[in-house]
Amino acid sequence: MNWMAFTPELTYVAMAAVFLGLSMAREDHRRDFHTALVFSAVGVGVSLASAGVTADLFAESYRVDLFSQVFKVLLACGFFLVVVLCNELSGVKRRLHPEFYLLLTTSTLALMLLVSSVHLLTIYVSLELSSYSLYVLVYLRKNRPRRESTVVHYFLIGASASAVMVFGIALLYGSTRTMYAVEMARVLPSVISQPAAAIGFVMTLAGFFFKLAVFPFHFWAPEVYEGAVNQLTTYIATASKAAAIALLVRLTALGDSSAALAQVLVVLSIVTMTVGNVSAIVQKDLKRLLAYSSVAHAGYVLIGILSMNPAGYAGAVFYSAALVTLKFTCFMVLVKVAADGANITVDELAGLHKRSPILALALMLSLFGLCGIPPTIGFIGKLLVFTAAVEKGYFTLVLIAMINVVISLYYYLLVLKAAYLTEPKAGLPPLPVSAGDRLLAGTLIVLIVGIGFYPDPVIQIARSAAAVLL
Amino acid sequence: MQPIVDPFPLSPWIPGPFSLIAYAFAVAVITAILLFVSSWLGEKKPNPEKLRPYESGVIPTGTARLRFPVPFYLVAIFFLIFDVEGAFIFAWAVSAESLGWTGFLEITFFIFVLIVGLFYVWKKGGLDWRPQRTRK
Repeated sequence: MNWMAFTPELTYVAMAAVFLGLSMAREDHRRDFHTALVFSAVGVGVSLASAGVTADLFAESYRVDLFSQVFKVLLACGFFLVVVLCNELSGVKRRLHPEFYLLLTTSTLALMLLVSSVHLLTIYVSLELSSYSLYVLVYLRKNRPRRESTVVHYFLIGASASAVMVFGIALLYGSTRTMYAVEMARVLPSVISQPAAAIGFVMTLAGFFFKLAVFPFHFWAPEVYEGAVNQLTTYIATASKAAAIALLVRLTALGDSSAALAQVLVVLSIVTMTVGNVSAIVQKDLKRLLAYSSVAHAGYVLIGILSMNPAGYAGAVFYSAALVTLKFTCFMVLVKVAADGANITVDELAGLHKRSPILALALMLSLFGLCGIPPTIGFIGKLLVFTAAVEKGYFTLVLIAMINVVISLYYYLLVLKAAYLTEPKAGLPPLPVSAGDRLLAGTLIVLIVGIGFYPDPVIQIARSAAAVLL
Repeated sequence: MQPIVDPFPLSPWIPGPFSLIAYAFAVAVITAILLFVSSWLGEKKPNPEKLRPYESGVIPTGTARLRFPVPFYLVAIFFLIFDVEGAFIFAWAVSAESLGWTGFLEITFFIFVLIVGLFYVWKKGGLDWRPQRTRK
């Protein structure tokens, strides 16, 4: 067996083992933070180093290819950035910090296993591993009233989605007689017109609809975003979405000869983005607003996926990278403004441009990116996804998406208005922004604008990653 | 006795959305009719004897909402974990010879992981049974 191909995952296994040990040792939250920082940085390095490796592992149920490695690098970067934000993890009791990092690590490990899985059972097991870590993590928020109800709500929706998915897997297995994705790609076109196979296929996607907060499974998003620690919300909004997009692309590429499947996805996409955008307008809490904006973005990503052409898949891969960057920037500002780990409302951003100009600039660019205003990475993402859909003749769908983009502009600009134009009621002190924070914010600003101006290298990577699937 | 040679012993059936919808509709209608008719025509003469919860002939005492001590719940969870461990080890033991040393090493690793879990539970005071234990 080629162990080299498995090193990124092994790094995170080692990290989980270390934090399990630390959770039984003496309490020291600085040590925990620095250990997590070192390990997650090593994780980024290892996944970059193994980016070009290809291999088939574990009786061909686990495939390491460019597609999975691109997403592993994205996940490792997302995890590292979330750990960087954990400098003041004031939303979690100090004695529980090792457990927080432990579960975050297992969740990342599971997402990494997920993007490489090409067997329905490995896909299911890794999806559950990441979900279960997140259920417990959401509960770790301290001083939060009714957190039990949030977690139970999250768990019940997750469990229902899993049940639907397992049923779908059973139907799919029954009609194709295989669990391997490679084999399925060969058999599926001949049976996808049967109701059992088509319904089974859509139901199998339900697990990822849940992760991505697509319409029938999106009800957990606002509550969990609001109830989780800010750093964890960042993680849920970035890394876990990227992995869900990866798997949706990988699975949809199997059934891409089906017009019925595309129709189902069109309906889901329209309902998801409309529900997300319309609900986001009335939100006061910034995290709830971003939760509904995530739901809307899930709808946009689906447009790329349902186009079922190489451009659409590449667009979805690019879009996931853009989402990770933009959402992380938003949440970084949120974490820094809410230094005591509390939730903040949109109005509490008032006067941000005076309190910390660089954070306000980062927030502005990331919100512009989320609306899709050029020249940002978000504009390129939307452009790729929408052109792919138009190529396939989904003009009405793209028109509806454009109307949705205009709706979303309204609430993103409300946030910006609070940050730039509204004067705070009382004179608030400048935010303490360390040199590291400035560097991080600066890097993100450069990424958002730089890739917006010169997206070719990233588009090339996304294209070659998506080309592996076809 | 003649073996059944007919490859399709049941009536020929072609899967299609119409039969599924018709079936679902029939299920809904028949269920609704049965529920309605039984509640409409059924005799309703409640008395305290009939309304009492059925406890196999014993007259129930006290409230149904007992407050169980948390350790019971914890023990149930731990039992479940180690029970599953047992199930896995049985499955390995049946085919231990054919799995060879690779299988042995894998089951050893599995048991090791669970022992670490046991140690974690122990360290965090999950096995502490006294009612007023001091928090660690």
